[in-house]
Amino acid sequence: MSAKVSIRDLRKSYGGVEAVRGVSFEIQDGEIFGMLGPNGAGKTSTLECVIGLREPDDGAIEVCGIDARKNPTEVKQRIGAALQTTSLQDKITGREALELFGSFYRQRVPSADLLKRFSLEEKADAPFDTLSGGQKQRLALALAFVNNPELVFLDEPTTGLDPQSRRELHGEIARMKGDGHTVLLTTHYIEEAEQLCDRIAIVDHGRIIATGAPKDLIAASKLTQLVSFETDRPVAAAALQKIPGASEPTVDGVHGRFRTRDISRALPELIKLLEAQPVQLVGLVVGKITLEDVFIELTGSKLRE
Amino acid sequence: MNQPLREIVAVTLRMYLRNRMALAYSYVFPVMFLLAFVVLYKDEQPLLIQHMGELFTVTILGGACFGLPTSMVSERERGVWRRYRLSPVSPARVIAGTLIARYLMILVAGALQLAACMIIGGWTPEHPFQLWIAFSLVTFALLGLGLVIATMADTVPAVQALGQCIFLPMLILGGVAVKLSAFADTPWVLHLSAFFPGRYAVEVMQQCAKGTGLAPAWFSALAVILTGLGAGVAGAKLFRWDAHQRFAANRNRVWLLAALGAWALIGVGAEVRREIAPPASARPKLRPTIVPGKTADTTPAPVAPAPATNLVPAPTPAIPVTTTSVPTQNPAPVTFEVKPNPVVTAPAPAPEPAVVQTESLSQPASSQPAAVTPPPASAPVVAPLAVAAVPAPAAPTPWRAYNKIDFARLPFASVPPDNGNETPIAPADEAPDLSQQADLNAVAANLKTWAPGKVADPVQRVRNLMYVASATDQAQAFLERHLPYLIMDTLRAQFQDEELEQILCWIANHPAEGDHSAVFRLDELGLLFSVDDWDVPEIRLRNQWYSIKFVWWLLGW
Repeated sequence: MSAKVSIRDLRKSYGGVEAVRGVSFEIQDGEIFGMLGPNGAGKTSTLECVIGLREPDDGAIEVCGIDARKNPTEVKQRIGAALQTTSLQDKITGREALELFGSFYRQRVPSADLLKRFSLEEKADAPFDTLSGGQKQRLALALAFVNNPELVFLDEPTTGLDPQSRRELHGEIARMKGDGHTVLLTTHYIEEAEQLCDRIAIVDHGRIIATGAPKDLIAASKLTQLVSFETDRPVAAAALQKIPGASEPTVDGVHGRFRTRDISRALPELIKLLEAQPVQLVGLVVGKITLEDVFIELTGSKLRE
Repeated sequence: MNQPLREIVAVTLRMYLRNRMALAYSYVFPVMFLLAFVVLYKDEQPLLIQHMGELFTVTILGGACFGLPTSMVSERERGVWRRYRLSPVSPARVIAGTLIARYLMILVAGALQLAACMIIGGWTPEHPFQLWIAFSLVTFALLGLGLVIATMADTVPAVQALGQCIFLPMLILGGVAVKLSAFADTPWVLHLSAFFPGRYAVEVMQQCAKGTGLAPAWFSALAVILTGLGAGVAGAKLFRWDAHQRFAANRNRVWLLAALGAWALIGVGAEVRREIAPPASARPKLRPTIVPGKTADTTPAPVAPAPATNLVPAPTPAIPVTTTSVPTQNPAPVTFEVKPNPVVTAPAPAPEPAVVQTESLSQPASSQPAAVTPPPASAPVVAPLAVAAVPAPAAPTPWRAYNKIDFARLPFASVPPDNGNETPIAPADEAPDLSQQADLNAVAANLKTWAPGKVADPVQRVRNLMYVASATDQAQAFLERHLPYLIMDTLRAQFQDEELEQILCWIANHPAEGDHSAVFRLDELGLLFSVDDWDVPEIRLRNQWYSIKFVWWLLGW
């Protein structure tokens, strides 16, 4: 697979503050790549440097095989972008906005198609300031697709949207992948990144601290899973220590729990132990390691809304 | 126009038409100025034609210094321009589209304003095509300034502050809302105004609306173009898409000098060309260079000009005041009765038995000479004349007997000052502006064939010519401060100075005499007023004052 985006050692400072500190990554063709990090981590600065909204201090940016720092206009012909908040003139209608922005590109998708695709037909002639947040964001996505881009950049596209609008947008983004588009998505919603992205870069303090598919990141985590169970009779706590890899075992009457890094080995051992007592298992809960757990493990802090 | 540009223009215009506040500002504001101008210049005929340059400039300034940057900064603050930046459209296209749309809005406002003025005033512009060109040049020049404001201002309130910094000085000191002639006595304002593009904008458009067209106003047109170029370069270099890019942090802000440099350049150019305050040697040809005593008699007057209280020098015997009516050279169709005025003191020496019935200049009829009494400082020397049906008998001409003693007895100190409202005369170093000069040239050409200026009787001829200045003054018309120079030139072309001094002295002493029918033929000169109900006594009074001033002038005092 060829790299659609290749970033090497990207740096950007504002005054004395280093917002982006040597970021490097690649995005393959047809991939949805997520940048996950808290506010102020440097995600948006990185994305804005790539799409030409900001001039980086240093680093190389190649988009669709074009040097974006030398030929930003040509890059803009091939990409589409939706920012965190898209502001248009208050009184412009969706149809007019699509016609206006469509006129800036060599290749363009008919406005009617975009209005239909993004469910904006009913609001096509409504002024921008009368649209809801979700409708505005759908219009922003429609604008990002006005030139049928090879590559789409979405900067926190669901921030501030209600759950319904967020679900709708997730559907649109999943459809982009289905249509073969390459997408770079920034977000601070872990579940969004986990649900939508093929690969994720975890960004903190201007650096990428981990990159990979969500399941690989979780698998690579050193975190332990919590196993909780309930039995028909009390179990001796000392018995739990016989389970290989179990740690922090506790028993409170019929309720017991322990931690393990190897759930596939620990669970058969637990069943075997209870049968030997003999004690009957009434309930069992295995705590899943989430991407958030991984994030906290890597960054030492929770994601901030 | 390519498609992106066309779309930007179309969308900008649509947004503008959907914004009621912007519409109101763009069209109500010019209408308010139009009404203010109508009120201010209601006595001028044709109405407003002499002020189209000012009116248009105010309208363009409003749209350029406030309308354009307010909308640009507002869109930038909201992030609209950031969205443009995501696309491959170039800043040049965005700027050009925005400027073209704004130009069209201002053009419509100007066209409506012109149409209203044409309907109200009943005139048409003399050079309509050139007027459109001039209007367009001025609009793009001032839009350039608006662009600079938009790039400098970080917020909409900052636009208002910066806009006022350009708008108000241009209006008040820059010759836009206040005629520069109002600052005739304040030369520093005239010099300062030379550095403001507003005066050139007014000039170049005014010349096309009513004047000689673009070509003679080439310097003003050049100044406007330079202003636009300087501002355009500065605006393009300072342009920023994003509200986060602050002006103070803009590395290109040195380019602001391009805009300021253009202002400085045109100001210096105007100074070099003496467009501001030309020295006496560089005055226009219509300005007379008065040389006292052009005739053989160059002896200074024995009596220095003095305040009214010193009109009669000690060694000079008291001059009898005429007491009866003085003969006129032409029987007047209307004669005058003068209200008794016991404080009137100006002597009216008459070498022949006087038969004056004008008590304003003389005591009641008496065979005894009357001693001249200095008037109280506050008392008018000559009382206004009132019309009465008293026939004026014909009589021989006595004016040749006047001499320098008689001249010295004229109440020089009691005539209104040159910089006042009555009988004003522009300072010698104040050149008429191009528009005024054009009108003066037209009047001068018409004077050559004007019948009242050709009558055989020299006194009546002088009186008729003096009416031109006096009536213009009474009408407070456009040329009132400059016409006296033209009249003086015309008189001096026909008379020797000494002869002229005598005739003027006679008119000053006998203001109520002679024919005044010439007053009703002033329209033949192409003067810009048409008053059917002239206040003839008032005009005669002004003839008297101008005569006294002209004598003073001829004597070199």
